[in-house]
Amino acid sequence: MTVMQKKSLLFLCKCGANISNFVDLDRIADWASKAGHIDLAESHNLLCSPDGKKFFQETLKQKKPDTVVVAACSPKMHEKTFQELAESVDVNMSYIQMANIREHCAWVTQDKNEATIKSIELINAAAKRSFEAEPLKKMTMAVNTDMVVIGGGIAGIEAALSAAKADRKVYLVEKEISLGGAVIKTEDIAPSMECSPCLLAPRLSAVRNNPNITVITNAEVNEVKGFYGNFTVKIHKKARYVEESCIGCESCFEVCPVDVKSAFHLNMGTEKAVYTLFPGSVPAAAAIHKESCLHFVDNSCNACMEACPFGSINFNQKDEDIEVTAGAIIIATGFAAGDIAGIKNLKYGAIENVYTTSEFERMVCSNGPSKGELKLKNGEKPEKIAVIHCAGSMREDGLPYCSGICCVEAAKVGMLVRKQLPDVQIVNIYQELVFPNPRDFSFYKQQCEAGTHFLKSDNISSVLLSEEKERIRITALGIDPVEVDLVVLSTGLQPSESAKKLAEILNIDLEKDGFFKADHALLHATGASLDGIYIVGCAKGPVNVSDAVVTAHAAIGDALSKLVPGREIELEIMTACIDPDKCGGCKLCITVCPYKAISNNADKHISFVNEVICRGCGTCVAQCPSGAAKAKHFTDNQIYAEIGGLIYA
Amino acid sequence: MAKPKIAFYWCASCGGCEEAIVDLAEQILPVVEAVDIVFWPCAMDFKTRDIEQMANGSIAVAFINGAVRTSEQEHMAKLMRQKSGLVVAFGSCAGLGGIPALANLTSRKKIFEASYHDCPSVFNPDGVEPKTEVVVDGHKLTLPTFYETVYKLDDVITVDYYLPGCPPTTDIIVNAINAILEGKLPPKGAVLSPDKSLCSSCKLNDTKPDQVCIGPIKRIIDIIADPEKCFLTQGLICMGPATRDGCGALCIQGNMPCTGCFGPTDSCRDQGGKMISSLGGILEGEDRDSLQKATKGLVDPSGTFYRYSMSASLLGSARKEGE
Ligand SMILES: Cc1cc2nc3c(=O)[nH]c(=O)nc-3n(C[C@H](O)[C@H](O)[C@H](O)COP(=O)(O)OP(=O)(O)OC[C@H]3O[C@@H](n4cnc5c(N)ncnc54)[C@H](O)[C@@H]3O)c2cc1C
Ligand code: SF4
Ligand code: SF4
Ligand code: SF4
Ligand code: SF4
Repeated sequence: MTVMQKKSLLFLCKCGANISNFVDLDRIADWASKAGHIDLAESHNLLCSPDGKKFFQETLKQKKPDTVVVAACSPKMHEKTFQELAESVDVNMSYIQMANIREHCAWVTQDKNEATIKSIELINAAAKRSFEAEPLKKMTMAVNTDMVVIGGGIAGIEAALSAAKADRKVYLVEKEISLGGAVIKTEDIAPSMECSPCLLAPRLSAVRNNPNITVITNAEVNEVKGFYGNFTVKIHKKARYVEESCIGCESCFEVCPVDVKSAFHLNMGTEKAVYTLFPGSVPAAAAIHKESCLHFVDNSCNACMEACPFGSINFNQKDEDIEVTAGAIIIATGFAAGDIAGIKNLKYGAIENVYTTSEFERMVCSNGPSKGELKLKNGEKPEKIAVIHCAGSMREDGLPYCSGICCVEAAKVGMLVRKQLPDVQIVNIYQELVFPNPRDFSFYKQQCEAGTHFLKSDNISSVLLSEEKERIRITALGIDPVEVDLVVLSTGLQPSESAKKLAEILNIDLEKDGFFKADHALLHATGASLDGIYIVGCAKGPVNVSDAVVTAHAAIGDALSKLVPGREIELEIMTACIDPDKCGGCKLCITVCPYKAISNNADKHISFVNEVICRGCGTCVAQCPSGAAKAKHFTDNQIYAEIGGLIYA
Repeated sequence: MAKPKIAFYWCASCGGCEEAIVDLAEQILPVVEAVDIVFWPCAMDFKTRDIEQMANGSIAVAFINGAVRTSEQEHMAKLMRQKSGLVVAFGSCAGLGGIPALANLTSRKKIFEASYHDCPSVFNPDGVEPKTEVVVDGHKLTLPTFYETVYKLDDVITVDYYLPGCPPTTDIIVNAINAILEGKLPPKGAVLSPDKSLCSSCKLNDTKPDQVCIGPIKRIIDIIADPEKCFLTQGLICMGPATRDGCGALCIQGNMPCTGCFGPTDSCRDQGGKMISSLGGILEGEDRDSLQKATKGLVDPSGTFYRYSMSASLLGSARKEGE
C-alpha cells in the first residue's frame, strides 16, 4: 500500500512591498518546488484585496488542495478572512494555516537572508501542522435575551423594571425575605428629602405586578456557568415555611409567643419568630425564623398555623434549587456599612447612645423599632447631638478610602432630628467635607443655615469619645472638647459580605477595595470584567440612590443593545473534548475549567465537556494528566508537527 | 506441533522482573507446559552462543526486562531481536527506562566518582576504575562499555509489545502470555494494560471532590495517610491520575500513593511533565511565596514525577557539560 503524500497549497503574499522587499519570495518558491509536500500557487501582490480574495477562492476551487498555507501577515489580521473564504468554496477552515512572514519575518530584521530562512521555517511548520488538522464545525445558538438580577435593592429593582419593560424575562434574586435593600431602612433620601417608603412602594408593586419579573427571595446564586448570551444560573432558595398565599396580614404575629432580635432593625428592636421586614413588603409573605420558632425547637407550638386565615404556614417546606438561563447577569448586591468595631477611640458598643448613621436612620424611621421616635436610652429627649464624619474611613485600620456619599448622610442627621425635635443642637465634627455636586452642596448650605454647626478638626482619626456624667465628651485635635447626649458615627460603605464569593462564582474581578471591578472605568463602567455581566448600584462602589438608579438603567440599556431577540451568537469552534474511552475520571480538569464547562458522570467514571459552555481556553488540556482531554485544532499532534516542521525545515 | 519457544533476558534491572515470573507460582505450570523456555540466564544455565546458534526468528517471544545501560545489553537486545518473532519489553525499565534511568540526571564520570571513590564504604587506594580493556599476565580482558545515558529498550531495537509495571503484576503477565498463546494480540506497539489512568479503578476516587485544591505537598513519611481518602486530596503526590491503569491499585490498597510505575497512558507523551502541569492547576496559592510554601515538601521532583519514565521523557536526561 502506498500512502499518498499530502500536499499543502502555498499562497505567498507580497503585501505590496511590505513582504517582498524584505523576504526573497523567489527563493521560497524555489524551496517549495523542491520540498515535495508543497504545491505553489502564484504569489500575489495583495491577497487580502478583493482581487486577491477572488484569486484565493478560484485557486482553491480549481486545485482542491489537501491543506492550505497562507504565507502573509499575522493570523490576528487575516486568519479569519481566509478561513471564511475557504469555507465559502467548501474547504474546511481547519485546513487553512497562516505563516506569519510579515510581522515575524519581514518586519523584524533588515537581513533579507535571515528573514527568508525564517519564512521557510514558518511555512514548513505551518504545512506540517496543517496535515494533522481535523475538520472543524461552526456552531451557533440564538442569544438568550433573559436576565438575572442579583440583589433587590433600589438598583436591582430599577434594573429589573427596565429590562421587563423591554419584554425581557427577569429573575430577581434577593437574599433577604423581601426586596428593598438599604433604602427601605431609611426615612428620607437626601438631598431631595423624598420619603423613602413613598418612593419605593410604587416601584415594589410595579415589580410584583409585572408578569415578566420572577422574584426569588431568601435566595442566593450558588453557581453560574456559561457566557454572554448563554448563562445557566443555579439559585438556592431557602425555605421560609410560609407559602406564597400569605398576604402579610400579620394575624400570626399576634399569636406568636417568641420574640427575636430584628436584623432589619439592626438589632435595636424585636420581631416575632414569624415575621415580615415591613408592612407592604414584596413579596408580602411572612417567613419563620427556624432557629427560634418553638415548632422547630421542641414541637410545642402551632399557633401561627392555627391563626392564619389562609392556611399559609407550611412547616414542611423544603429548600429549593432553581436553575434558570439568561443572557446577562446584573449584580446589584449593594454594600455593607463600614465596620468600626476595631476602632477603639470611637467607643462604639462601649458607651450608650452612640450609634452609626445606619442605626440612627433606622431609629428615626416611621417603620423603625421605636416608630420613629428619637430618645435616649433613659427615655429622655436629647438636647445636643454630635455627628462624627468619616468614622472609620480614610484610615488604614478601617476603610482606607473616602466613600464620597457619607457627608450628605451626616448632614442629613440634623435635618431628621429637627423634624421632630426642632430645638436640639447639632454639631458635625469633620476633617474633610465632600459635597461633590451642586445639589449636595446646596443641601449642606441649607443645613448650616438651619442650625447645624460644622466643626473642623485637624485630624478626624484623633476623635476620642468618653463618658462624662451621663453625657458623652468628645475631644479631637484642633477643636475644643464638646459634650453631647447622643453621638452619630457617620460610617463609610464597604463591599457587601457576599461580593468575594460572588466574584468567585462568576469568575470576575474585584477592585483592591473589594468592590466589583469595571471592565473599563470610563467607557464601560457598568460592565464587569467578563462580557454579559454587569455591576450596578453600590456593588460597583459607594454611590447615592440617584447614581444607583442611573447605573442600573445604563447597564440594562447596554444589555438590551446586545441581547437582541433573534441574534445568533457564534459558539467557540475550537473547544476541548474528552475522549470517553481514555478519561480516567480523575476530575482534575473540573477543578481548573474557568467556565465550569466540565462535569463528571459518576456512573461512567468519566468527565465530559459541555461544548456550548466551553470557550476553548485549553486549561483542561494542560491539566489532564492522562491526555484524554484534547483541544480541537490544538492537538498534541498538530503542535509536535509544527515544532518538527520548524526544526527540520 | 512443536511448542513455541520463549526466551527471557535481563538488562539493567534489579531482578524484580525475574522475581515476578517466579511469583507466578503455580500459574507458571501451564505456561511451562505450553512453551519451551530456551533462554533464561537468571534461572537456568544458558550461554550466549546457545542463542547465537539458533535460527533467526526461531524464538516465538522474547521477554526482555531492564534498561539498556551497557554495550553488552545493547548487543544482547539486538541478538534477541534477530532471533525472535516478538519482543516484549517487560517492566518499567525496559519500557521507559525505570529507576536506572534516573541516573540520566548525572554523568558517567560522576557515577564512577561516587561508586569507585567517594562512597564512604569504598576502599580503593589505587583509584581503580572499570575499563573496557585490560591486559593481565598477557591476557586481554574486556568489559562492556558503560554508556553515558540509560536507554529504554525501544531506543535500541524495535519492540512489539510492552508489559508495564515495576514489576508487572501476575495478572497482566498471565493475560499477556495467554493472549500470545491464543494469538489474540492487539496491534503492534501496544502496551498490554488498559489505556486509562489509575483513578478509573481506584476506589478512593469517589472521595475526591470536583474541586481539588491541595495545600502544602507532603511526603508519605510526613503524615499518617487516611486509607479512606484520595491521597492527592491529602496533599500527597499520588501519580494515579497520570499513570496507566492495570495494577489493580495495589499501592493504594497498601495505603501508599501511586508512584507511577505503570507509566503514562497512550495519549500522554511525558508522564512527569503531565503530572507537574496538572499539579500546577490544583495547588493552593496564587503568588510566588504561597506556591513556594506549597511545594516546599517536594524534595525530589524528578524522583517523584519521573521515577520510572526518565528515558521516555521529552528531556530524557540532564544536560551534560562537554558531551
Ligand atoms: C445610613 C445610610 C444613609 C443613606 N442615605 C442616603 C441618602 O440620603 N440619599 C442617597 O441618595 N443615598 C443614601 N444612602 C445610600 C443608599 O442607601 C444607596 O445608594 C443605595 O442603597 C444603593 O442601592 P443598591 O441597590 O445598590 O444597594 P442596596 O440597597 O445595598 O441593596 C442591595 C440588595 O442586594 C441584596 N444582596 C446582597 N448580597 C446578595 C446576594 N449575594 N444575593 C442576593 N441578594 C443580595 C441585599 O440584601 C440588598 O437587598 C445612604 C446609605 C446609608 C448606609
Ligand atoms: S409556630 Fe413558631 S412562628 Fe408560629 S407562632 Fe409558634 S413560635 Fe411563632
Ligand atoms: S477548554 Fe477545557 S478548561 Fe477551557 S473552557 Fe473548555 S472545557 Fe473548560
Ligand atoms: S483530567 Fe483527564 S482523565 Fe481526569 S477527568 Fe479530566 S479528562 Fe478525565
Ligand atoms: S489520585 Fe490516587 S488515590 Fe486519588 S483517586 Fe487517583 S489513584 Fe486513587
